[in-house]
Amino acid sequence: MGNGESSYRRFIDGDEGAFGEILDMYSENLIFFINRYVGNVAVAQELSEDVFVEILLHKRRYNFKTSLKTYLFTIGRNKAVSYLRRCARRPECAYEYIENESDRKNLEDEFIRKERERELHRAINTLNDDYKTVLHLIYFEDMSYEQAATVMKKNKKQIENLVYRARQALKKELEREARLP
Amino acid sequence: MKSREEYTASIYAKRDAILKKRKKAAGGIAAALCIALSFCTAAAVMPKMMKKSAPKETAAQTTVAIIESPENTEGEILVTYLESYIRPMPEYSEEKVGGEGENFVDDAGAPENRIENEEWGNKQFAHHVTKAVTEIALETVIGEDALGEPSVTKKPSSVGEYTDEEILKAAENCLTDAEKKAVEGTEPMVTVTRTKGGEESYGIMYIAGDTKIKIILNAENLEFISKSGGIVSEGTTAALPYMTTPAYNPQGE
Repeated sequence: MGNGESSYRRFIDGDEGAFGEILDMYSENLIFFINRYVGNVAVAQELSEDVFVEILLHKRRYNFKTSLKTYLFTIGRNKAVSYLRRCARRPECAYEYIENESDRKNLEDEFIRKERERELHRAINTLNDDYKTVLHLIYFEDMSYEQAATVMKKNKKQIENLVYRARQALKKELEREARLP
Repeated sequence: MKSREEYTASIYAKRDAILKKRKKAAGGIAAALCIALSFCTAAAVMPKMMKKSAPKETAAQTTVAIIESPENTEGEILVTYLESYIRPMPEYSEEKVGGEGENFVDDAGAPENRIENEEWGNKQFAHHVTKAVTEIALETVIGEDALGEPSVTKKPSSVGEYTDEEILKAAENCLTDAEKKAVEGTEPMVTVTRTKGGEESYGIMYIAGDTKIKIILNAENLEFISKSGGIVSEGTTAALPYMTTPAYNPQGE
């Protein structure tokens, strides 16, 4: 357990400053992760806010059995999936949040500093949702297979298979990009 | 992208909005519960209130209502019909006839005991049909308990009010001259008996040889109650000769 958990313990004990520490530690990663699903930085930011609102309202739901990061990302994924379902029923919701191109660029710049990683990020974005998510969690968030399984509500074997297939798909995509003039 | 401050402020604002919404919903639920509860209470109370507001009319009230209606001939017929069903209730005169407890006589003159039942806090009446019981009841409180069982409060004992001489003299007065002669010189045996009803009596037993005479006197007033036994002599106890039909004797010899 890292610093996030100790901050969370202080937050449960009533230290409001600890909540700020949690925000500093996880908010941007969370936005970046949710953005993988929704493809809109403004929406991702809104949804990440909802994740932290959940934390404020239900302090004691977190049981410290997983890392705080896994817990937050699980909530974030649920929020993103709910949002996508809602938008599938009500297409106009997609236009409620107008993404600013500069926001997207700022977010990417914040997380992806190396050119090689940028290429990888762009290639990942072309994959299907499960491949994107599993590769993001494993390679960008440094999560274990178990943690990724928790976030994606799958078992470890499924995650292993997903990672294998996602790698194959990514390899093909990178090869395709490499062939491009 | 929001700044860090804006981002934090937005989170707290969302939290406050949700709490406010929940509070409002909770208030709404509470109000709904109150309304539901008041409906339930009303549903439970209304039938009782309706029953109270329309009390059942007694036969007397019905009679009055019908009589007050001037041109109600059918009503008069009904009154006659109803009155035929009204049986006169026995009225008890509260004339105290003495003794312990509250004793009354009814119109027919029969003794009537009015018993205060402390447990139930009401008065009960008991009729006494036999003379003996009536006499006892004059000084003995007899009634029924809550379960309808006879309840008797025994009166104080009369034993000791008369001396032995007075008792024996009263007993001798009940003997015939022959009996007096038969038991003369013997020492009578005196016993005292108290019945469940509180009646006390003296039993005076005279024993002279086979002759045994028992006189029972009322312990309260030494009045004669009964006598048993009698003079037994040898002659009386001897077997009588066998009586047969006289032999046919047409000549009358």
